[in-house]
Amino acid sequence: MKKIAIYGKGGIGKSTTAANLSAALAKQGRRVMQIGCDPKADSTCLLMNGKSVPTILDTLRTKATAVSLEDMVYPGFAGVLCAECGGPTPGVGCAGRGIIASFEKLEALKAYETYRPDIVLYDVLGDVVCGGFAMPLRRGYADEVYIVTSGEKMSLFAARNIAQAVGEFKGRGYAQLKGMILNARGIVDELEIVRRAAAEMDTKVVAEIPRDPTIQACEERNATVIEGAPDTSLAERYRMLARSIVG
Amino acid sequence: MSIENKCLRLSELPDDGSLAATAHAKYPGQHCSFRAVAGTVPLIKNSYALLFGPAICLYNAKLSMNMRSLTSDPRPNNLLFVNYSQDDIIFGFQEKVRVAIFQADQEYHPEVLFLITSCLQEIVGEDFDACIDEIRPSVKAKLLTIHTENFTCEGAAPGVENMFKSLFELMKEQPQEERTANILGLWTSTARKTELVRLLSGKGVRIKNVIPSYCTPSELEEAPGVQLNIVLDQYGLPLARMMKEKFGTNYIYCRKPYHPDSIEEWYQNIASALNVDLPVEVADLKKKTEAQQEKARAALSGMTCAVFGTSGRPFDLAHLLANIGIEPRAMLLQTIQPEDRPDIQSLLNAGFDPIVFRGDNSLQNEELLAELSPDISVGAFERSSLARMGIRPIVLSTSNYLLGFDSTLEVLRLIMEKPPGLEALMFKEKILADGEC
Amino acid sequence: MDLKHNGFPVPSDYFGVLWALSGIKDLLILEHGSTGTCNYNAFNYMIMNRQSPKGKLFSSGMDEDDVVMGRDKKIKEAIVELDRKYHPEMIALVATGVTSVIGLDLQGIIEEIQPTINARMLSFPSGGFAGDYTIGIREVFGTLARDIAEDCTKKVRSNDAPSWTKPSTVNIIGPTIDSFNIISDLAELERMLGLMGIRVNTVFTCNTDVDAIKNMACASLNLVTRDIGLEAAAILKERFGTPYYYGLPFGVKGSIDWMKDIASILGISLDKGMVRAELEKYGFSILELVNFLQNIDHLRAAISCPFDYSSGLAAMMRDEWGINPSLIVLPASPIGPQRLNREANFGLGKDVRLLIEPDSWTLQDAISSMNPHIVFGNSYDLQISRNVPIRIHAAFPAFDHIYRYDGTPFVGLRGHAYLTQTIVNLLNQNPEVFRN
Repeated sequence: MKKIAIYGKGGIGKSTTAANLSAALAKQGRRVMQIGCDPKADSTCLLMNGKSVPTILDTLRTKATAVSLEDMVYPGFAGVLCAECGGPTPGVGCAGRGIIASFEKLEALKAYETYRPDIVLYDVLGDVVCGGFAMPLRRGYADEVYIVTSGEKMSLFAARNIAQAVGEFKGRGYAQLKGMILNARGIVDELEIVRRAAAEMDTKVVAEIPRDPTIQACEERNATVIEGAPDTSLAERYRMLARSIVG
Repeated sequence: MSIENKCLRLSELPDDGSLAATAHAKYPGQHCSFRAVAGTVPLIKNSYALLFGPAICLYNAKLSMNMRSLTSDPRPNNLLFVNYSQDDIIFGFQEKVRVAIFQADQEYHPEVLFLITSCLQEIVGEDFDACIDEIRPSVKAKLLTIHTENFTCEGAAPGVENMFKSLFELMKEQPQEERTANILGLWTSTARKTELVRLLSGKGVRIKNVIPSYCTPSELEEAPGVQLNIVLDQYGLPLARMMKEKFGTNYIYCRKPYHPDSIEEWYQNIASALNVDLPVEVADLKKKTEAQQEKARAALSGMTCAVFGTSGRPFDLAHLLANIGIEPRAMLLQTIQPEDRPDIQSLLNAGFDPIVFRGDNSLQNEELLAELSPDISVGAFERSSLARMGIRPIVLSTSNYLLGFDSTLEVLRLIMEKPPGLEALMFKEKILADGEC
Repeated sequence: MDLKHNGFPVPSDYFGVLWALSGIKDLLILEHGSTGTCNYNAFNYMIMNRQSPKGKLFSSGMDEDDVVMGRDKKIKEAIVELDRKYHPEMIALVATGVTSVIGLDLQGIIEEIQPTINARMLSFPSGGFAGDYTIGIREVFGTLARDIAEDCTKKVRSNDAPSWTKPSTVNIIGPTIDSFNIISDLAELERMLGLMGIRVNTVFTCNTDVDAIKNMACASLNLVTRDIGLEAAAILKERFGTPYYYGLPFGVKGSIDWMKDIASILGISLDKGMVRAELEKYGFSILELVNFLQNIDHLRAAISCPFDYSSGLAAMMRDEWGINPSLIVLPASPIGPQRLNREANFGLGKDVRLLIEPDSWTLQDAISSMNPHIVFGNSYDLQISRNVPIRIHAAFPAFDHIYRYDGTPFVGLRGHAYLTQTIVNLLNQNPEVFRN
């Protein structure tokens, strides 16, 4: 079982990338589980044909009887197992603690032993803003971290922060930074800019996802590119990314 | 001495009086604001307090109150508890807070409902005050919020100061009444029987409120209309300043003294601030206290002691002990106030330069005491570990609720008279320490 | 919402962790939180027989910078200090609520720092949000049974087999420093085992040390005295094949059955002379102590204690005193197989109520509507039962009672004798109970 965390600045396309990656891996015959770690709970939306899955935290809070894995993990496109941590509405509560509580519940219910996924993808909100958002990095969770970024300044700034956090946890046996995924925004010399930044962070660019209207077209149909436009070169990019990540 | 490098002589104390931390692993650590406030607000009459926090804080608060109920100075049982679960932390506290406030208002009908928050509230960062502002118009009780987050400070002081400051919200502009005063910072049911109140009453000064000891909300409303606020500890000082600024109520900050000369001066300052003559009884009481001092000197001169932080002016207490021939070898304190400086100087001028030690780990305190081996320890609570070291423990709790010469006479009595059971305790501990009878 | 005006907020798993760890002699507890929490704890240990966690419990002294920035410097420095200064066998890092909320990874810190620390380190990260105190105790028990207890096979085979390899050696699993009346009860259990020639290897965890926990597998039998200990006993059985026996001996019958069962498992025979002598001394019936106009079969009794005490006391009252308790109150749900068998455990009839984790109002209503003659319960239960003539303190919290003396057991034959004598004395002090 390989566990991967996808981090990156808010709005940079993490969830789209994660969903396409999951879809590509599933189509390659892998058993994939994707866990959204964003209170908005929209990570797996494209894998569920646009439907929102009940979040783990809502389920725990509202279900009167004992909660089972079936209440929290839902099969989506190509059998990808979809789960969303969920969280509070903005301005109240503590989303970081929500991630911790969700992970503890999945562990208590032996989610990984039950589903035995080949790949687990954690799609994590924006930045490592507090301890809860570093939960996927901990030993026993993700083994590898990929950062989704564009060549824009703020996106790379966030990427550096994440890389620094990953570096600081090295001594604890936490997940290691494995590379950057360029989700291009079409700025000049974007690949080169991100390559240089990656080198500074002692890592590499593992994939370049070009700016392509196919993504929006598929999203409008509530589908990943792998599902909605499987024969495009863009879909092939995601498949290449999948191959490069699983080795 | 193994902890020598963590000790300072009094004469080496830096100007700001700060004491460096002495241990990374601390025990028991400084007081918790939440606990201190939970133990204090029950003193306000016609009030209830809602305590918001995780079970860690609530269970401890309840037990502390119950233990207190078994003492000579119990607190009314007016604490109510709202347990924050993990769900509340993740999704927000507001609904639970709202329900609890309405329930407390309707079931217990308090005139004032204190809302006491703990660390968690502040860490999660929800706007508690805004939530309360929304609720306020819909409940009968006056809602007073006290924030007590302990992780932002060392010790309980900020939380207790917030408790005092919350009372300000009850106060209203009043015409000033001559020859009236409030006392701020005395925490006991016997507050109105203290020597200070007695002597001032004799001079026609009426003590309107002893804050926070058993004041009603309407009495607090009228509190600004006094000639003087007599502030006995640092916790009440921010409230006194607020009252001065908003209502023009004058105040005098005068912590509790121990040495007879200091007490006389203390009374003189208070009398001057009230424009009354020094009560004639002061001279008699001073004479009586000095006579007791002589007896103590005859019995105890040549002994050595360690002094733990206590209510009021600790260095003035050390000065009192030094004056009866008991050499203060160590002062064990967590903090030193700027106002301690004159007392420190008096002690140094009298030829005493004790070690000042901030024992962040009480095992270190014991290490130091074993090293210094004083005859008595004044102000500590752990009787058996002191007894095992052959040090006589003097617990000052009964003097803590007294003021003026009464307090000092009680200190002298406690030093001269062994409490019941102490001989037996020391007999046993000596055998245990020596391993032979 | 239960605002606990007359009751008490249920202690959380955090307390269970502290209590379960506090009885291990060479283990130090370092909690990551503000010092106020530790200071508070110094106080709450007092309600458990005036104990003190001094020299056992320490705080990292977390401050705002640690909270906001998630720094771990202070706790690391504290670990190093404890290790170098006090040389413990083990250091347990315990989360407070604040640690849990900011998401500091205590186990991650251990991974990082363990190579430089002599003491073995463990982490307990729940911080008070996993449930009530029983969860915390079970967490500690499970961790110790799984990770610390060692296979003793090699030691048993060595030429210098130490005393614990004797076949008649048992561990007692369940008592922790929060267990009610534990000093007297343990003394009685150990006395009864001694009468059978059985030695106690260790008491897990209120009176043990790291070495004794490591050697738990060398005992022939684990005696579980509290439902909280069942999981640990099951782990030890699975890992080392050590059988376990679950139950607390209450009353004459319960005590004799307990001895017989243990003797049978260990393959030893009970000395009849010893049993006779014990019964002569401690087996007196309540009927031998009351006179013919002191009828007691009409008395109404309520028991509010944790499961093992409640079920044991209920059986003793029913079987030995002829009083059927009408109200049983459990502060927490029972754990393990007995959960399914509540009626069998309490002999619940039509008119008997069983309340589990009731709120203060429900409990208050139940007591006042039942109007019992006798109540067994904790300090709060007895406070709300002010009008009940016979009130016997039988559970923690016990802020107004002390149980330091080891001669007042509730369990075993001496427990039977003590309780029977006590109840008769209290009946005599309240003779009106014979009349209504």
